[in-house]
Formats: sequence, structure tokens, C-alpha cells
Amino acid sequence: MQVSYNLLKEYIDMDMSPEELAQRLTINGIILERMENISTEIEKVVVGKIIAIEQHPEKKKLSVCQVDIKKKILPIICGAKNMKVFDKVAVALDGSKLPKIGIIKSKKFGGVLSSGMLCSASELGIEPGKSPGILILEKEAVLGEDIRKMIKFDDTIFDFEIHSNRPDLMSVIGIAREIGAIINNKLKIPEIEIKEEGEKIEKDIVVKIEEEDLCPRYAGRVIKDIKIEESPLWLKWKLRLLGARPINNIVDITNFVMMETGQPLHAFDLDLVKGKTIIVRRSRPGETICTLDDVERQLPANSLVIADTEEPIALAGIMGGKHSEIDQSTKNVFLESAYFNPVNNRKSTAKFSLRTEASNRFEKGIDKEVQIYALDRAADLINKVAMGKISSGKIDTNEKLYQPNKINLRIKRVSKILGQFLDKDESKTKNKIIDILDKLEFKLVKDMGEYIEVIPPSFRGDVEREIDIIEEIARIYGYDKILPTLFNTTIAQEGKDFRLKVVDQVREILIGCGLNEVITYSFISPETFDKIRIPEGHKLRNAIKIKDPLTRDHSLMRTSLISSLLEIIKWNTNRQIELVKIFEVAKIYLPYPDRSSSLPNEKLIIAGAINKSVRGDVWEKSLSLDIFDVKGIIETVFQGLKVENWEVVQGNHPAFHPLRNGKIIIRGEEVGIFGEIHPEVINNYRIPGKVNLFEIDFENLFPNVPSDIKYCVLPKYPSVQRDLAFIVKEEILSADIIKTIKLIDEKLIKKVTLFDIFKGKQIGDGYKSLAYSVVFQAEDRTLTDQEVENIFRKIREKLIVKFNAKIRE
Amino acid sequence: MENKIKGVKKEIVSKLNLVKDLKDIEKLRVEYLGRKGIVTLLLRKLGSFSAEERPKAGQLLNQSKREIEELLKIKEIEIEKLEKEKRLQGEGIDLTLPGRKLDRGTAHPINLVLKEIEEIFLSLGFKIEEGPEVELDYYNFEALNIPKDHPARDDQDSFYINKEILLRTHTSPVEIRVMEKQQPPIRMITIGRCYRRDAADSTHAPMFHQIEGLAVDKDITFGDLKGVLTVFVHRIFGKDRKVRFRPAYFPFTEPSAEVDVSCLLCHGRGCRACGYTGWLEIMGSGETDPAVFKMVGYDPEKYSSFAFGMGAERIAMLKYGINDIRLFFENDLRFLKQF
Repeated sequence: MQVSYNLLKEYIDMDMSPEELAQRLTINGIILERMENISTEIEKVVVGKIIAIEQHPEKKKLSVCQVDIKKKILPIICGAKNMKVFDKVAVALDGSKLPKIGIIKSKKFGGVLSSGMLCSASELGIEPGKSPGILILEKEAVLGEDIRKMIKFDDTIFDFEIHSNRPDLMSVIGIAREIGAIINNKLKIPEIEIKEEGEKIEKDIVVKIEEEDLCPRYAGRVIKDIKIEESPLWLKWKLRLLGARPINNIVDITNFVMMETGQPLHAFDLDLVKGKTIIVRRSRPGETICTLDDVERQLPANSLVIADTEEPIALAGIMGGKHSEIDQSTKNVFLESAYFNPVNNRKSTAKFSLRTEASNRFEKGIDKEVQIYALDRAADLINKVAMGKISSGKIDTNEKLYQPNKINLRIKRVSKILGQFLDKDESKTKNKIIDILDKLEFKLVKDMGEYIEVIPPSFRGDVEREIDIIEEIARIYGYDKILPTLFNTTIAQEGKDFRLKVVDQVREILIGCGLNEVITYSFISPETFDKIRIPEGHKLRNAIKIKDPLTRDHSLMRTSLISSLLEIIKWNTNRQIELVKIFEVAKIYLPYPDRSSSLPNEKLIIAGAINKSVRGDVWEKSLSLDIFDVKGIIETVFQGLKVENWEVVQGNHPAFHPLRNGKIIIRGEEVGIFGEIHPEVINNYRIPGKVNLFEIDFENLFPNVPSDIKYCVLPKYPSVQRDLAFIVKEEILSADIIKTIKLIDEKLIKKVTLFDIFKGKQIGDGYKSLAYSVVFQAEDRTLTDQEVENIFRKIREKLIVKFNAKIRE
Repeated sequence: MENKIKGVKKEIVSKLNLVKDLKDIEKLRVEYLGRKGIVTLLLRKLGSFSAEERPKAGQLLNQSKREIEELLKIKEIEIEKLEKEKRLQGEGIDLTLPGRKLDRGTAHPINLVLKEIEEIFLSLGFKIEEGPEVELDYYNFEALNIPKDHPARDDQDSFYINKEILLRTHTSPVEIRVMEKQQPPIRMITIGRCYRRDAADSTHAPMFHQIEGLAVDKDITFGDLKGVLTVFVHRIFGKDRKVRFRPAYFPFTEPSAEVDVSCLLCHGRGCRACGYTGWLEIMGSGETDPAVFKMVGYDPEKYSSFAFGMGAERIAMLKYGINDIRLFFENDLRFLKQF
């Protein structure tokens, strides 16, 4: 809501600077969004009257005006065309000062002297942008008077953010009233004198309400014989302060009164209302209307419209129709001041995606008692400004719309909610409460001792319950005066549960492994699946779809983190960052089979990726990151979490290289995948080099994380280590060999470690040489050489039989 | 004889002063104590002495031999020490060469901030709760006193999946889920991703993180809200920060308060960052509206509570002086490695 300091002062006496005022209002809940000092430097601009206009002898586009400024008559050259003889205008004299232009001097144009300039509204700072012609002043303007006497150019404009529960503050009077409550001063409401003359209103208009629920109150007046003109300077200036553009005197008055009182008004050209009848009804199928913004609109059935006997002439509470618009030829108007149902208004604005100053107020719920005041205020102004004659009588379909709501306020309850408050003495507290409520224009109905009966004013539709009143008390009393306390309730301090602690631990380990944590959007594009080679029909393609996404790239909820990490690698390698090692701990979203009714399965995933750059400096290259680096990271995580008994089997995830594609299994369940990203995928993302990546399903991993550690007695007897090297076919898996060795004697063989792997000519094509160290240890004795040799022999025999191993001596 | 021995000793002492290395000492040892050494030869000559002279001369000679051995030993140790030192002197290295570090990664700044906030509330006795990101309209709006046609609800701002399901727009639904399943007292926080239909620009992102807190008990007051949140602000932004509570409107709290902290850049004097107000808005808060209590079956006459919520991105931007929210989601390593 835009308003100015001087404008507010017309409604409330205050001796605060604009800065102080903004500060006070902000801490009371009316937040200042913008403040602008518009003090403009205008000097030597006076009211003049054009007494003659001639064409410039040489320059055809210019006119030479003779302007009477009371003391003398000045020749002034002007390029505008909108002035007539006897118009009153703003004259910038020789040596005058204008805000944007600077100093104006007498000057010759094509041999004719111009002793000043005729000003346009924008040149005076009254309109933003560039005005089409010069400013024509009202006839009442006093000849020769300094323009600064007509308007106060020095002012401060505030733009306040109004909370949606306070539509009463979307008006100058509302804000002034709030200031009054804060500084304890009385509001000055403009007085109205309605001079009814001529015929009765009923002769010219009949109002029929078909939808009382949607339009519970409809008031109106007829004003005749008006003169459509530009608004007088004072009104234009007010509109400028309120942030509105002047159009003509009638429209300007309805706009001004709306912003002054909070009640939207609409003026219809009475002579264009067919059948002399206003009908408030729902639209019928197929009806259309051309609105004031020149848009031809199809009316969805059941939209609330204002219609005449033939067709809709306005969208109720939103915008008027073009057909009955006020224009130069308008003679008589019907002025509407209604209350429309907020919920329905809100639905309609959504349907038309058309939000206006009027709908913005109606949808939040306006004062139910202000209709007649606003109507009469506008009628009075039209009478004064546009010479209109107010027909006698008015229309008001429901004087009793406002039903006072009596609320009981328990004095004790106030301190119970707010804490240390006001005064220890309860009766003093009560007096202070009553005092605050009085400032807010709440009516004290009855004092019942422990509680008081209160009626909120009609403009405070948001106050419905005791708690709402308590908030009002706190607000006006001042949040800053309520003492901060620390509660001392007893509560079991559960802190962080084990699951979240494990998540933290995983993140710590991954950071320790040298990975940088990333956070990426949960959305993906439908193209992602093709890019990471997920075939049609694959379960990963079954993703949650956002109904109305911002962009196609953000239209699905992801089912894997793979593409998100690849995008980040691409972002970085595109910026000459060669080595990228990243991880993310985030959710994927898997739809349940029954899509419509239940929420998806949100699974926490730990994913990491490292690239191997093609270029990069020598040191980084020497790292030569490959699949075993990501596997090593997974192993480090498992080691840190004390997860054991995991195994790796060949995987088949389509995003990975078909053979460098592993699956991690714990107790028969898949816990994660890792591998080298498929070269086609790498190509799709245009990433240089290779990427190795892993994804661990935290939900499957977590049940395998032991929650506590059990100490094992340290071995008392020494261990014996023997090494063993042999040649086997290349496709034999190391994990199978280790498993086989361990099975020979599960009790005495403590550890089997691969310490060398070798391929080469000496070994032969398709073969590899493997070397393992085997550690033997007994818990109850020192093993003898003979015992160890016996087991060792069995190992060799088994390897020969099972894997066709050639033992190297 | 005596003089001769004294002469030998003197000779040795002066020769020892000229010794340069262990080899020289070995030479001296052979020269005097070796099989054909001067002292050995003298000892052999003892036989030619008279019986009276012999014991005295023998004693003298033997003592001198021990003394010479001692002198040689001392010198030897001295030389050895010198030689060791000399060797160490030759082992200098360039200590400015890079160390072999284990390249440590970094936590994302958002998580860094979330962690810090979490720690503060954990220490104040709050428990951490979790809830779904894809949420029912009921939990996200209706149960929070935002019925279908409430002005505070704008379909334009939410990502809907279907009529009843949407991406949560705040973490408040977790409060409802917790209150539904347990009775007071409650002291909880929840942290997570939220989504709003905002196109990305320097201050908006379609996804962001929120931290939400709730305390419910018999005697919780607005004063407690002020107390707890003041402690929070002081711990996250520093004790010298001023805190301001300003009336606000949220459908699910009454009274409601916006929490401001004195500007971190200008210390309240007013600058561009704080829009020349001296204050920065950091979170919303308030006492839970009785209407919300009714939705979860709590008796508002018996219990009161306060709740608060803030955006992690905003806190991180203020704390680290980051001016563009998009940086958090671009994940440029040059950015991430600063944290």
C-alpha cells in the first residue's frame, strides 16, 4: 500500500518525522518496504491563463500563446496541442526551476521570444514518465499564484507491506487509524455533505440481487449532469502520492475514494445500462465481456457478474466492462459500492488470472460498514469536482450486513499466553488492556470481573476469537516490552536418534575421503532417463510428475542421483576444474504402485562420483582415479560404520560400463551400486575423461549398521603368516579365492589378503598371477609349524582342484 | 724414565689437538699403544730396570698407558659427535615443498549452517524429527489453518502432484505429524528440503531448506518464544547482535512475530544490505494458533506452544556474506571449497 506522509497528516495529527513514523509502524506490524523522499525543487512556477493562441510564423508545429499571469501578459511558445484559449496552465517563468529539467530561461524560437514554458504534469513531477500534453489546471486556480501554494511538493512516499489478514490497512484511513492507536490520537475523517437534488434514484435504476450469498450488500447512487474533465491538480497530486495514474475526474474520484476508505467503487455510464436495471447474477454459458483492459473474455459459467437486462457489464468486484465505461460523452453515472463474498472473489480472480486493486481488497474481506460512507464521499466529490447532481435517495440492499461479534476476554488468559505482562496487579492490568482496546476502537460491552465482553470494530473482520484480541493487545503494547524468558518444562531429552547420527557419520567419512559435498535440486528432466541409458519400461523411469512445473527440466522428482552428480561434474569441468570428487546425501522419490492415493516412498541415498580428467597437472594425473577408488570409498564408509559381511557381485545398471558395474550385497539384499559410467552416458553429458560413481541405498544399509560395539579379547598367542602365489585364469574372481581359502579352516585362518596381482608375457595370455598372505592363529595355543603346514597344504590342494591353479614356488 | 713418560704424554696431547678424524686417532693408537708402539716398547724395556726401580716404573707406565687410552677415547667420542653432526648438516631439505596431505573434502555450506543450528537446539533440549517432502495438502495447508480458499494459500506458489499431494512448501507439516502421534510435552526441530514455485534468481530458488521448531507444554508463553529465539540468534550470529520481534501474520500462529537481527554488515546503522533499516529479517515465529491445536486434538486451554521457522539459505547468505542463492545449487568447486 502506497501512501505519503503529508497525505496521512490530513487524517491524523502527529509530530513524528517520516523516518520515525516508518520505524513505529514497522515494529507494530506494518512493514515499510520502500521510502522515497520526493521533495522536488520547483521555483517560480505560477498559474497563468491563456488568452490567445496563434501559430508560430515559421515553425508549424509550435504555437505562440499569450499567457496572463496577473501582473503581465507573456508570450510563450509551446509544442503541445491540448490547450485552448482561457485554459489555466502552470507557467514556468524566466529563471524558474523544474525538477528534471533545471533552470528555464527566456529563449527565442525561430525569431519569436518565449518568456517561459507551459509545464506538463510530468515536468512538475505529478505524473511518472512523459505526459502527452501540458497540464490544464482547474478553473478555480488563482491567477498568478505560485504553484507551490496549490500542492505540497515536499513529501515522503511510503510503500507498506500489508499482511493478508489486515485488509483494513489497505487504505489511507486504515493506516491513519492504526497510527492513531499507536500514538493515542484521534482520527480525522473527512466530512461529507450530500446535496441531493432532482429526481428519485428509483426513476433511473433498479437493482436486483440474484446471488445474495455472493453479494450480500449492494449500495449505489445516481449522479447526473456531470462534466467529464481532467481532475483538478489537488486530486491528480493525491493520486500520484497513492501511486495511481489520473484518467478523468470520475474515474479518479472512484480510485481515490477506494484508496482513501478501502472500499472499491465502480462508476457505470448510466445511459448505457440497458433496461435501467442492474442485476447481480451468475454468468450464463457462452456469455462474454470486454473488460476495461480491452480484453474480450469468455465467462466461465457461474462467475459472478453485474449485468443489465441484456448482458454482463462488469466482473463483480474485479473489473468493469468496456461498454459502460465512463468517457468524454458520459453525462450520468451510477455509482456502485458493494460488498462481495471474499472467497468467491478470490476464486474468480484465480479463474480469470486477473488481479486488480479492487479484487485485492474484496478477496481479503473489506469493512462491512463502510459502503455508504465511501459511496457518499465519492458522490460528494463528484458533485464538487464534476458539477454532478446527486439524485435523491440511494440504494442499499442490506444495511444490517455487519453483525457485531461479542468476544469474551479473560484477563488471566492474556498473561498466560504472553508471559510476564503489563502489571502484577490484576486490576491495573485490566485497565491497561481496556485502554489498549479502546485505542483500537474495540467496544467494551461489559466488565464481568474475571473477563470482559468486547466487540471489535466492523473493519476488523480478522478479529474473531479471544486469541486474536490477545495478539492485538501484545501488538499495541509492544512485543519489545514483553520480557524474554527461558521455559523450564521438564522433558525427556532424546536429542538425535541413531539413524540421523549414522547419516552424519557417513557425511564425515566421505568428507574425510576428500569428497566435496554438493546439494542439487530434487527435480530432473524427462530427458534424463535417455541420457543415462535407462531403457523404456525400467522401474527408474517411474517417477513422480509435477503437475505444473516451472520448466520441463524440473518436471519430475528424481529416482536416482546419478544424473544430478554428472551435471555437477559437467558444470565444473566446463570451468577448467579438472578433478571433481563429490558426494550428495539426498532423497529419491519412488511412486507406490497405487499412485493417486498414497505418498511416494522417499529413500535416502548416498551417492558419490569422481572423474578422471584427460588433462590435468602431473600430480593429479598420478592419482589415476578409477573404479577401485570409488570402491575404496565405499569400503571406507563400511569400515567406519562397522558394516561387515558385504560382498560385491557383477551388476547390470544400464548407466555403467557393462563389465565395470558392481552391486553391493549385504545378507542377500542390494545395498548399492558402483562402477565406471558408460562411455555413451559420458558422451551425452559431454564430460571429458571417465567418471566412476557409486550410489548407496541408505535405507537398506542402515539395518546393517551395528548400534553398539562389543569388545573382543585380544589374542594371547602369536600368529603365523604364510604367503602363497599362483597362476589362474583371468576370469577367476579374487573374492571367490579368498572365500575358498577361508573355508579350509574357519577357526584358524584369521585373515587372507591379496598383496599382488600380475599379468604379463611370462604368465601367458588369459592368465594372471595372484599372491595372498594368509594369517593363522589359535585362541588357546601357539600353532606349531606342522599344524600350519598341514592347513597350508590343504589350501594349495584345494586351489589346484577348484581353480586349476598353478602354484608358484 | 719419568721424564720420558711425561714427554710421551705431552707429545700425545699435542698430537691429539691436530687429530681430524677417527683414522688419525687409530693411527695414534697404533703409534703409541700398538704392538710396536712407543708405550708398548717402553713396557717391554721394564725388564732392564733394577728391582727397586721396576715396581715404581711399572706402575707409572701402566698408569700412563691407561691415561693415554682415556685421552684417545675422549677424543674419539668428540670426533664421532662432530662427524654425526657434520652428516646431519648434509641432510638439509626444502621444508617449503608441499606436504603429502590427505586431501580433505568439504561439507556443503547449507549443511554447515544446518548443523550449527541443529547443535544449538539440541543443546536446548529439542529433538530432531523427520517428515516427507512429498506431502498431503492436508498436512501442508489444511491442518495448519489454511483451508482451500484461504488468501494465504496461492496455488501459484506450490508444486502440486495431484489435487491432494504436493511438494511441501515449508517444514511445518512435520509439526502436525508429530503432534498427531504424541501428547505434549514436545520440543522438536525438523530440517529439510522445501519447494516453492519461484523461478531461480539471486534471491529465489524453487528448492530451499527450512528449519522448523516447536515447543508444546502447559505453561509456554510468548516470553519463552522470545527467550529461546534470542539465545538462538546470539549463538548463531554473536552475542552483540540485537534481536527484534515484530508483529506478523501467519495463519497457524497467534500471536505471530517476525524475528529481525541487527544488520550484520552495518551493525544497525543502515546500509544497502538491510534496505537502510538496520535490521535483517531472519525468521517467522509465533504461538501455535488454537485452531491448529484443535486439528491435532490438543486442548488449547490446557496447552500452549510456540513455533518458528527459517530458511537455511538466508541464514547462510547472511552468515557468509553470499549474495546469490543460486551459488548453493550450482556446486562450483571453487565455491564449495571455501567452506
